[in-house]
Amino acid sequence: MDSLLYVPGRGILYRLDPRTKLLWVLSVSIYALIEQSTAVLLLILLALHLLIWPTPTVRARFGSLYRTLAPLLSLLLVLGCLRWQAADALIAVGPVGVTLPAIWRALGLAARIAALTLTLSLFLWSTTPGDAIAGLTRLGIPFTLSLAAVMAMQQIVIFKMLFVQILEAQQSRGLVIDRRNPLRVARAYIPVIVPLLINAFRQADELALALQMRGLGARRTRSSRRRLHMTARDWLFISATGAVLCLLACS
Amino acid sequence: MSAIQVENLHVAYPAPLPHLSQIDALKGIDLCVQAGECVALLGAVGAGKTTLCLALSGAIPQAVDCTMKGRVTVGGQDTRATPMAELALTVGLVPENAAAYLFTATVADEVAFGLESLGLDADEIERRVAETLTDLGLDGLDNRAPQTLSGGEQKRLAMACAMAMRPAILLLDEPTAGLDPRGRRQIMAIINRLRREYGMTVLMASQDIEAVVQLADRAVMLHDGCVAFDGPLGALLAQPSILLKRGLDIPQLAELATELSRHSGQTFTFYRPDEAARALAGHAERPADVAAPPPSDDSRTPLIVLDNVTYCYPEATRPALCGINFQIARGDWLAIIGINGSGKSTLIRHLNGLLKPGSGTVWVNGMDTRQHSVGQLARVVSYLPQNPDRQIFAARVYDEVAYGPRQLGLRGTELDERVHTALAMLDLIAYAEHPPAVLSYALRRRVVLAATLAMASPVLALDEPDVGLDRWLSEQMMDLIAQRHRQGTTVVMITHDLRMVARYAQRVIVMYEGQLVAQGTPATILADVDMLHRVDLDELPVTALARRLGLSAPLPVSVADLAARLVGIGTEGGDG
Repeated sequence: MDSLLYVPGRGILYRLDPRTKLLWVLSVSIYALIEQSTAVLLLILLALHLLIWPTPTVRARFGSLYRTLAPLLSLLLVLGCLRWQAADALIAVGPVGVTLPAIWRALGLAARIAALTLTLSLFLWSTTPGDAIAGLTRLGIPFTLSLAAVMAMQQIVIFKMLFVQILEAQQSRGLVIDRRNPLRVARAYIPVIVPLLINAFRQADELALALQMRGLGARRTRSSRRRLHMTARDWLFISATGAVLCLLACS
Repeated sequence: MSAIQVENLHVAYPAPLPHLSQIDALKGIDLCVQAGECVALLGAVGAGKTTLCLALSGAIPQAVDCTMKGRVTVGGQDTRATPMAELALTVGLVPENAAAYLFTATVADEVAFGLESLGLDADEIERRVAETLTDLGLDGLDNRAPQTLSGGEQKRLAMACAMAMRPAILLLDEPTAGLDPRGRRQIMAIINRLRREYGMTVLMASQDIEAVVQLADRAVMLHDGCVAFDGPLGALLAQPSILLKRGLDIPQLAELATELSRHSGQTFTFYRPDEAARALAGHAERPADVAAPPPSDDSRTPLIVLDNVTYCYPEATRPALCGINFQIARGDWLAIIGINGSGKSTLIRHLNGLLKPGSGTVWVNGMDTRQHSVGQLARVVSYLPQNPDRQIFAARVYDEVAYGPRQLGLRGTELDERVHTALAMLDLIAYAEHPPAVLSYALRRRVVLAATLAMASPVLALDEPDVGLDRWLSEQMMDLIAQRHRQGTTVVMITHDLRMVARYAQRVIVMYEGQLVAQGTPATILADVDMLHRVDLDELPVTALARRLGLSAPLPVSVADLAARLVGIGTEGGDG
């Protein structure tokens, strides 16, 4: 969950205007969604890695991102490789076989999911929530919506910390989670989920109060300490992204 | 000119359940605070301090679900008619739980948020952010995430957020709660400076009377939603019985003054160090009765053994614990002291297996904690967390208290007896059928203690058991724990309250930067002023005074000790 948060670092993504990055996320994501070629999807994934590879703080997060994605990617790869009564099966167990085109398609599907996740992650890792809000607001999204979206991301991390604290408190009272029986697991988690919800409601109240105490909505127009400027670097990056995507689409 | 004017203020919160009645938090408060005054708003838990602060900030009635009668004006603005956001320009509130009110990603963004709401231009925002962070001693932390700051830094950041709006009135709700001595010192120094430099009106709602007496000119004491005292602080401290009756602690020096007056026939009225030093200067010293140290009882079985324990949190650059070695004997009462971040919590979390040592071994009742789950170790070590809301979940207080013993396998009559005993000990029988989550903070703390005691584990691990409690509650809880201790329970507690250490603990260990730097009896550790200063801890006020008066070692660590050492005015041959 921590991998949703901004991490300080240096590199091309850190020097771009948040609006450029938002445009980049949008275009790469749309392209990754519609592209059918496995080779192109793997190429996009490789390019995303190369883009941020020189930034050690971000590179250090790849491991935890792929660990989180591992169950989903494994499932996609395993299920995607299987074909029913395939004549050209490389390996077959009864009517189920694994074919080379199926492996290739499964790889494409996994690459698509990884590319989409990584694109969004790169934006979140390289953009402070303040910059993200400023960028979204300058693109015409109302401030309260931008604030809510960005704060929701942060709250996920805070709730994860809270969950761990509550779980530890209940374990100290003898809670042992028997993972062999799903019903027992669900029941064992009640003493964790209930305080989590109570605390969540309390925190939501405190947050609302904090926002009011800081004058949210006091003036019709809200200013920002951030001065956003599209520089030549931003325009160059947008042009390069557009050109590469057009080239890939035409190839 | 009055900065704050409160007339016949009544505030009531809705009933938490249909069959319960509404909660009358304030019952006809009248208060007038002049511009530039520094007022200590005192009161026990539930007296109405926080409610009054919320009413002064406009949060009541504008943002909090309650009914309000009466009139409140701050800086000439009616809090009912002026939007909260506008009031923030006049009155800044620093809430008790500062961390919950921080919501942005960096320190600078946090301070800038309010200024952006006011629509100030970017240059002005940057200027004010930089200026305020410097004022509050937070410069250089601009890009840190607020959640990664220490408790004291978070409190100062919350103050910075309020201060950046340039309010004329500053309300501080429990400004020193949960802070270590360094954090308390910094906060109080900053309040003093802000007051001097900006001529601000300051109202500090607090139970930490020891801290607020250093700054406040006037005391307003609330009791059960009413004003029980309003006058000069000195007048209040000269009558300690009033404080005691209202569940508040007495500053140690004021207690000394009362003790000396009682025994000498002279009248002493000091409560600040300078006044005490002046009043007692020149008094001869009687040598300390150096009692022979109690025979060391090495035959006692060690119940907990830490053998060269080192622990490093993932992604941390330095270990949180470094080569820790010590033993806790069965029936011991051990206090762990040290500043925030010194490794106290990491250490206590090793005792019940919440953390497993990176290297070295922790033995609890002969069990290697690495080989056992937290649930299994709960049979031996029960843990009392600071925040009751991290564990309350049941629909009834009875079930909440029964949860732990049930997990340990108790059923039927034995379980029922165990729960009833714990409820009776904490006067909770009448609440047995109530949902614990809707009870007051004080009652929730009692429920959690009852739940911990009901487990009847041989070791009780307490993480700052006195945080957020008034004298009544704190004494009630500690006396119950002491009763368990006399019955053979081993107690391990983390605390910043050295008076509590002197009163209850048998042994003390001092942690600093992950290392165990000293251990011994409370008398030796608390009198070792050089060591305490090296690890950024403050000595007790009576010890500091004794040092100032030039008393020889061993320095006293309690009021009775110091009174007994002062020839002519102390308790010679008496009950010191």
